[in-house]
Amino acid sequence: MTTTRLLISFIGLALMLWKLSAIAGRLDRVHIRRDQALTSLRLQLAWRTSSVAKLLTTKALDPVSANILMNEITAVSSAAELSLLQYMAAESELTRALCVVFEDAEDVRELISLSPDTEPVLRDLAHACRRVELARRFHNDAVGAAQLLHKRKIVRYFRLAGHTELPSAIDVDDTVPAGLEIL
Amino acid sequence: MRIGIVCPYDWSVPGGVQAHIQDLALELMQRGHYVNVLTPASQPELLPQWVTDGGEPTAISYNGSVARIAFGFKATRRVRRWIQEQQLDVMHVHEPLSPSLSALACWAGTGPIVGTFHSSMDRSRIMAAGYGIAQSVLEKITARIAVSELARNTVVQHVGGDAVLIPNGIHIKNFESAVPLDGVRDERLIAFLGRFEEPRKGFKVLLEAFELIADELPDVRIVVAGPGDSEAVLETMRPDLRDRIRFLGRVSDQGKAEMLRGSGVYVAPNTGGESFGIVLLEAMAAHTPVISSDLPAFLRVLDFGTAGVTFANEDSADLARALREVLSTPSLREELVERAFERVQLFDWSRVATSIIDVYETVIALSGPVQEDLRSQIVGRLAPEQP
Repeated sequence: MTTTRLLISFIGLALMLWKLSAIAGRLDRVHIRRDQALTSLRLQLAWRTSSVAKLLTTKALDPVSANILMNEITAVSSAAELSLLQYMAAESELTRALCVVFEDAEDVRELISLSPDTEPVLRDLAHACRRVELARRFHNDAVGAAQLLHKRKIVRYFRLAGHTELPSAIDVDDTVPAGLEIL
Repeated sequence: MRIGIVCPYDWSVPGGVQAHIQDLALELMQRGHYVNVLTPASQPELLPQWVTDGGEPTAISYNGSVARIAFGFKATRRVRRWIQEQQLDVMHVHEPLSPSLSALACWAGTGPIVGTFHSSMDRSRIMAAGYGIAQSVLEKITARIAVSELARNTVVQHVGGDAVLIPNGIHIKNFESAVPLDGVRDERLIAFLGRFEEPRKGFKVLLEAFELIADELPDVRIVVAGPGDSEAVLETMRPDLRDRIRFLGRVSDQGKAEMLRGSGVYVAPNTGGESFGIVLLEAMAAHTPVISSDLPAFLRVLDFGTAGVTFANEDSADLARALREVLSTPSLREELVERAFERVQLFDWSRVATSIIDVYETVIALSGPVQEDLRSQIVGRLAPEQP
């Protein structure tokens, strides 16, 4: 009788431990995925900034737009060292400036016909803008998966998450400028 | 880039997902990427060189229908060996929620994984597949793609999270440049495509509408492409109309393009169960005006009625109205064709593949290549090591 009981509780304990290790593994994986997604987002944003810088060197833009974009990318570069919130706010500002400059597809077409050497640069910029949007969505998706796991009772009671903080979604304006959609 | 694509369904049987994967793979290879597809195949000897045999599919009853999939230890071993051998930069799994090689590949691999959702499923089917399994598979997918708004809703509402909408692609050129059936386009010919015996394809609605307009438009005829018993259909028809309908039987992709190109209007009277409507796009690419039922999926493809005419679902009188309008107004036809052709550009493979490559580039930006996940689930742990 006692042996059966012992056996049953032993099997139960083993199953419990297995479940805990599986969940801990999933948590770990989800956090890695989130970290990578964040780095990827930062990388895409950096690519966008460098495309803007490259565009400015072509001197094809009007002086006011060029000046404003110059300002924004400087602000973004210095904000990269600050908190994530401040950095994303600076990036959103850059997005808004880009959306004003490249508001209209007609203007973009004209710019390309006037100075054809801007076309590859603009194409890179459009590409970078689209990938920023993708990276932000993939990041927030990973955050969602992590939050879902963190909320589970088993994770909270057994402190499976350790000291890792609950990640939160990133709010950044990543609208692709309407005028660049054609590229 | 080295790209591995996992197909859940038998490669030897034609199907929407298989066709999508083949088109995508060819387009990617044309752009100079390395592509290898892992798929179950009942006729492995017929596979092209860039496709890897994932094992013999077994027909099992799953959730009320019969699915032909590869699973078990053997399949797990093949998936692991494939991941080891291919040295992929990104792994693209299709329909990861179905119990198949795709779900196995998610289990067995780690690294940049992209998942594409094709069908819309209701919640009960996802729950039946095992919600826990679904979650642990989904957690490993770095980026999710949905091919239609309905498929996206399935992901967002039932499993949570986000999915990027990238539609199904078509090769516009193949349809635009096809030689019309019988040599020239017959403006008075109505085209129907699909298994006409299946009620949800709505062939009956078209026949009823045809009887309504047949007397006032005596030169209008119907051409039907798709497998089925045509004799049975003819018997139900008014005797004097029987010689105005023509059955082509099952047609090849080329035959489909020729039929669409040779017809004056393509009608899609489907009554339900459609999540995308790729044939509508194909007709649009062939410069053929489209009339369809007002299913949500069709409305989206037709840009809410601007790129084609829609009628109230299952209402043959309304379809008759639409047919009269389109068949007897050349200016309307011209306008529809023009707008439809502009719209269909969004769905050309050149465009679609670029969006998919954007996704690949975003996910592989930093993390290393795809590797075997040694910590994956129990099924994988039990599979013996490959020499």
